[in-house]
Amino acid sequence: MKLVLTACPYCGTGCNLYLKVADKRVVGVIPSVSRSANRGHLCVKGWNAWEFIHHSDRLKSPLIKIRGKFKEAGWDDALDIVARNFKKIKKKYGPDSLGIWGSARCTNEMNYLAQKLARAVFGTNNVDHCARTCHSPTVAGLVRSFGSGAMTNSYDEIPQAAGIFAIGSNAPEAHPIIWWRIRTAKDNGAKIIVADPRKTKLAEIADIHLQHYPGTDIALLNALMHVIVKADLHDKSFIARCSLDFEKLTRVIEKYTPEYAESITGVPAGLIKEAAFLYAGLKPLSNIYTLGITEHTTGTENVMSVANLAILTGNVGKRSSGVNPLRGQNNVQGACDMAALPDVYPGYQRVDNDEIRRKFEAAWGVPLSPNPGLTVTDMIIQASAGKIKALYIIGEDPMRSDPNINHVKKALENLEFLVVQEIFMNKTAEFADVILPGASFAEKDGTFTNSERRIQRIRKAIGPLGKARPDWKIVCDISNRLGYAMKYKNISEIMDEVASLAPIYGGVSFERLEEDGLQWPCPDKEHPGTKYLHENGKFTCGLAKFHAIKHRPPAEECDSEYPFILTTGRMLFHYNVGTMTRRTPALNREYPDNFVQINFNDAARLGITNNAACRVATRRGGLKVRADVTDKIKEGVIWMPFHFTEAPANLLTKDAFCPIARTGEYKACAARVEKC
Amino acid sequence: MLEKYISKQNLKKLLGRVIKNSTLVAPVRPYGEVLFEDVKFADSIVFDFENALNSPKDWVLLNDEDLLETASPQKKPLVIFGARACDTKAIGLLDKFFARTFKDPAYFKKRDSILIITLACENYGRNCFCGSVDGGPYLTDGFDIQLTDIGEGYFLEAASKKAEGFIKRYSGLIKNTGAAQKKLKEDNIKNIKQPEEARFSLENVYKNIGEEKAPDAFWKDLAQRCQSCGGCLLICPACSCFYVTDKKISAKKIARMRSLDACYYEGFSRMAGGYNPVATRSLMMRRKFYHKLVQQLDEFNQAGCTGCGRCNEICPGNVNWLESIKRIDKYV
Repeated sequence: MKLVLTACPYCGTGCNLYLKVADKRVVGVIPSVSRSANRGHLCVKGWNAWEFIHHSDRLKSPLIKIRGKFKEAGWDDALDIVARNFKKIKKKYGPDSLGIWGSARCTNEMNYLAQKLARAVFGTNNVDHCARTCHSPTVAGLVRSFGSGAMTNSYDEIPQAAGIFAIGSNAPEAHPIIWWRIRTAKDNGAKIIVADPRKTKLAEIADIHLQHYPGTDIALLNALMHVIVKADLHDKSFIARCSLDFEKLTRVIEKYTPEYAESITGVPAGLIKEAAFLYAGLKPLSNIYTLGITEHTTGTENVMSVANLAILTGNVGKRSSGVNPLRGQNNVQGACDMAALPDVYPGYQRVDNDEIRRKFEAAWGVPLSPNPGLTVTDMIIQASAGKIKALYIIGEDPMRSDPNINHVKKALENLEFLVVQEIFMNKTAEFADVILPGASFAEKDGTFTNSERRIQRIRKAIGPLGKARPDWKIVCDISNRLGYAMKYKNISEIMDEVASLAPIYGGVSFERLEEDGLQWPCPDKEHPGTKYLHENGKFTCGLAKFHAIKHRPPAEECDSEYPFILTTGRMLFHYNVGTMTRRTPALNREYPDNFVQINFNDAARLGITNNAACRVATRRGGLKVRADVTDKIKEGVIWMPFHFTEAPANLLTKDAFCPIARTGEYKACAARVEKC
Repeated sequence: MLEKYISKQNLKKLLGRVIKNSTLVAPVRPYGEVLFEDVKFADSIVFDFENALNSPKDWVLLNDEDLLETASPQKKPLVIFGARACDTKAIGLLDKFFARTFKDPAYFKKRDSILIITLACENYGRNCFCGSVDGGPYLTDGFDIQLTDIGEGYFLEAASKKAEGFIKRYSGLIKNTGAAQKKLKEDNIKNIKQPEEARFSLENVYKNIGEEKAPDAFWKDLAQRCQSCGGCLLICPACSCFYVTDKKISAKKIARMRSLDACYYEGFSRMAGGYNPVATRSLMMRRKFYHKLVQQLDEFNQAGCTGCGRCNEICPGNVNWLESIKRIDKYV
């Protein structure tokens, strides 16, 4: 038995773990103790991350759809069909009729090549990935507020915070090893303020829990700021020295008295005041947020509101003090850094900036399109409209992870050609013309970047199963067949190329990552990496910007027909659409089926008892699930996880999107519940 | 009990020879941390370490085992070098467990061809508390070979038939010993002082758990912290709970598997109809403490914990098994 050090394939925390390998099989896991991302800790998914690898469902051969059925094929045949079709469709409809979906589950190296394939070979900026479904409001919002959109602090700074403000984050279930740090902060005496519609485990240890309705974050945050400014507790010198547009903020928060906010949020005015006073007195204070605020039609504005609060109180640019979006996927940070995004090149350099574009044209040897491309949200919409004709989707399952999956179905059916690259068959792949089998995280080398901007090595423990190939090689094969040479002798050369083009990765190379990875910005070979951003109030954009933001309700509000707010989310034991965790016996055994969380009083009124079957319906569809009757959720609100493919919560959610970031409003739509 | 001496130089030579005719498992440092691994080169073995992140239990009990595999027992014998007293004693507990009602064939098919060379500790590690649970730092019995560092070499004790056979095989490298070296060994062992932080009375803990002396608030605090990661149970060298399932290996093959389980998972004791007699985290934690510190003492005259301390390192709830036991010790 040998042990291979790699990084966890689940969430954005990026825990380092050893895979135990015996007889060419991965047979177990232990955590690394010395690596700082997790310091010896793993959550239940990490401890069991070995078990899905050898599942009998693994795709082991390319598949081609012939007369409606998938047949096994050789790589040459499959790749020939892929190249031929993309070439044909590009010629017939133009480069912008094509699109590539990179993957937040795959390596930096693969994502870099995927966006290069789209830009240099297909000739389009239609490249995006699943960050769109969760944190693109973070990128969009924090770029506007601070100049750059990433977690400002490092995990190890959290235990030393005097205060933690967590809004829209269920860290105990979604980021357990960051929750460990919050737990430690509490053990060290920190005060915790939590804003969440549910009584999560995080809310249980909070000093103040603000239980607001989904979609009312702006009103709540504006009210906190109103109280702080009225009590003269804001950081005037920080504001004067480091920010712009303070008057815009004060004008807008004038009307958000605690009483006004109570009428919108359902949180008692007195509690809002108490929270504001507590918040203002805690320094250093770490603001933490995730999808509870981003997955809304006001997602970008919600993020800017949190940034407003942080700038107002000087809680950014210091050790243990900042704005910390916890990134979801193992490499969503990296996929964004590598620019599997429609409007930037690697390192967040805009495609419509002439000087930048010339640099990439010189590096890649071809002219590049100056027009920002479509997001995955809009590629789906335009596929239905007939403008997008062909897609290459890598490691994503929009038929389960996009809101209102019926509209995704129409879009995929309308495509002329679809290639899906995956490790397991899924609902999206069923629509494909060609399916290409990728290698799991255990079967390839490369790098992932975690939520604290730490670029870390993943290492190959076993060979790819069957005929599966590492994803970066598949992208190269397609590119080569389309006449653009991608010849890398080994994977580290790809990171060297990235380093030469993206200043924030400038000093990154595989050798420098051996010991403990590197946190970007890391501009050159001598630079040790960066623990926290915007030090001394020097923001990436110079001065931080306040934004005047008004409350706007969710796109679909409740009415007499659909009186509940349905909000969706995640549990500890499962991961996203369940591709891997439903195939891990220890995890699936904990929660083998879908359910809906409903308040005691609501359940009693409807005659629904605990574990009994009930029907949850929205204007998009209905599901029969069992009821989890609890006091952890407010009356009038119900909650459902989206992990169960046979009862997919996104059948119910609404395809309403943040106009700036194009992220779906997974967290609020109108529903009704009936006893079965 | 055979008593011998081996120089440090000769030990390296011996391990090099073992690699040629057996699978050797030894501590190495491939990524800056000490791990047990199959070793190909004797030069890569480390001798100065507290303990490895993983325990040698990995070679004795796998996460998943095909119970019906009728392959013949290991052709190549397995030698584990560098196991600490706590890890060796834990494997001894597994030996007792898998023989308690009948001798488990799958377990012993592997176990019988494994020889363990225990390396006695010279001091307590940061998380260690073996002295409080009779788990070390030095064993008086229940081992194949035990080496105690006495300067230029090791005092070697052999306490099993398997060990005697091994000694004969490498007799060229192993010397006879005498009273002076034996005294050095005894002195070294006497000099290992257990730190106060690692000290508790197992007898008292046994009584206090059995009589449920710890208040509800104690269990409630632990239950709030526990993240049900299962890590403490999956990394424990003394844990052996398992479940049996049929696992689909391929389109044509289904295997009857013994899979290691963890008692902090709800599914561990949930019944087929959905009812769970041990449903809350609080009850699950009580069960673990009871099993390891009362029940196994009753049955095997050995605690289900040998004080290796790994569970303290990996707990993301800051539960701290040792501190919790010390708190139970103090309740009157």
